[in-house]
Amino acid sequence: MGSFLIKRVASLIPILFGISVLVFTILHLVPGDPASIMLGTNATPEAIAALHKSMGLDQPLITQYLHWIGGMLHGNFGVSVHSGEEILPQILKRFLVTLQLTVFGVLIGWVLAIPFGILSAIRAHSKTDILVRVATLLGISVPNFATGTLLLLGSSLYFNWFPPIDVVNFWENPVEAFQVFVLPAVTMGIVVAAGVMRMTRSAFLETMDKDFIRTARAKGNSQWTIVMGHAFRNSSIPIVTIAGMQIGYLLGGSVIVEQLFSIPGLGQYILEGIYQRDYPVVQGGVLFVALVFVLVNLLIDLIYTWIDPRIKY
Amino acid sequence: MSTFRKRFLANKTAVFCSVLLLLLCLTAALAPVLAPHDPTQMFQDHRMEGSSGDFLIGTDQFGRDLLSRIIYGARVSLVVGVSAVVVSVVFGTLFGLTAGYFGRWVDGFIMRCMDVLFAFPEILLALAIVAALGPGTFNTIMAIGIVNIPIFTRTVRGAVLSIKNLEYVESARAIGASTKRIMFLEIFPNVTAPLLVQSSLAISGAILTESALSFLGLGIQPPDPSWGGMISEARRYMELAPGMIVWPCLAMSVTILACNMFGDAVRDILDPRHRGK
Repeated sequence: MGSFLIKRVASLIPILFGISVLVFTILHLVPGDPASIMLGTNATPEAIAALHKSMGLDQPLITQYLHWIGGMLHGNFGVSVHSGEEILPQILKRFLVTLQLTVFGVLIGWVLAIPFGILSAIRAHSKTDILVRVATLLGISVPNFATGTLLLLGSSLYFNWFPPIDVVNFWENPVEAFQVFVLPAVTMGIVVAAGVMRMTRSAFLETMDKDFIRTARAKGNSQWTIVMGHAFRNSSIPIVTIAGMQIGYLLGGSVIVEQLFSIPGLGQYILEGIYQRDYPVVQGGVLFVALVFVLVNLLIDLIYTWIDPRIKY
Repeated sequence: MSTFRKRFLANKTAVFCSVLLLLLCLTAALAPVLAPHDPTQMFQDHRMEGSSGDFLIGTDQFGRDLLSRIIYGARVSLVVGVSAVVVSVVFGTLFGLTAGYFGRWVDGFIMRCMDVLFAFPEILLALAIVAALGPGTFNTIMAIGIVNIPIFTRTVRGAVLSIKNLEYVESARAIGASTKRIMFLEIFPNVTAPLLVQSSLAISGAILTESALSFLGLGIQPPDPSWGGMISEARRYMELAPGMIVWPCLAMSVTILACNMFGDAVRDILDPRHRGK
């Protein structure tokens, strides 16, 4: 296990390097001079020259990259061109909001998905199964911004209710936090549920066909014991895989949900950076999300060995 | 191919979805004939109206005909979706063939690059690329295309690995066929089945990403009609004219649903592991 961990972490180094190069390149793919684009058409030549100097844009690319990555490694993500604020504290603050939203979304999704997925598998080709599969297909096919917009439309037309705009910390004011997060979390939850349900169904279908399940049945175990005691753990690897991928997807996909529900999370911060051509913000935000994504994947790999001790790396 | 056709025709979902998608393609191609009005023409006296004889499903905040905009929107969605997948297929096939065939450090290098692209959530990578290149139809296609390259590279590489040591490849090498010939004429034809399955599944994702980018104002630019853009604009007027939201949502969902079901059906037909389930 220890040597696996070291190997697994070491394999991340080239990937992290690649990520940093890619994110660094974003700024330099911008057609024209990044400094004059960031400052807009009214910028004075002095201001542009100053930004050139402060961002080191007048130096060779390699020097710029080394300078930039050196800063990042020291936790210096630079300052926003638009507001002049330090970027990292903003990222962390907004990430907490995105994290709360993601946790709510994932919880809603899993609570819906796993029981129905199992039910659909053990009653394959029944009416319940068909219903679950149709729901799954719909959940995958209807885009989250359409679901979210329709939820907003429904709640305002039929209940005359709009979610409050001020985002509060869940631990300080759970009631209001619930009101703020319920619609966006349901929007996310539907997408999560569809993916997890699909995977749960197919994983269970495969496991329930195995010999050890037949043995367990022959011993006279109840359906509940067979499903929860024997099949569950053996089906959970693909479910954990998809669940982990979705957490990463949500941390990135929250851009849309946050924009739709005006939630000041990390996604919205990156989006504002794009709208305002505030490239240091975009770079910092994208780099941060990619790091979190990589860490989530690492965590998933570790969870595998815990679920199934037969997996040895 | 005849067994494929037989299986395809026996699969009701596949036939139904392909008819639906064919209709959609026809609608997109014949948009100028089918659309009752110009999608950008503003009828100032008919803003946000409900359905009527002139405007079958109503008008938007500028008095533009919703039905015409949805019909032209189909064109945008399909063109962007298909072109993006073509970009991913071309590059993914090249990278996958090269990585799988040459192995060793070439494989290592290409696959590490793909891992880097995989390390970003899809929509975020597409956003980052569009942020750098700027919005617009061509850049949207490129962004979505690049995002999907790793999936195709993996698919093709996996297939190549399972094929490249087969005897017929060996015999091609023995008679002195060039590397290029072996890669493209001997190996590639046997990679097309997984490639086809992956492409049909990727188109729905590409359409979804396009509409999401347009929804955020970073994809197709107004006044060109795009379903995602229409939904985004309609949010401000949703209580006054719910139809402005409901119709594009419906059009998009049906399209993506049809693509997904078609992709699943094609996979069931082509992949022996899924057959008979």
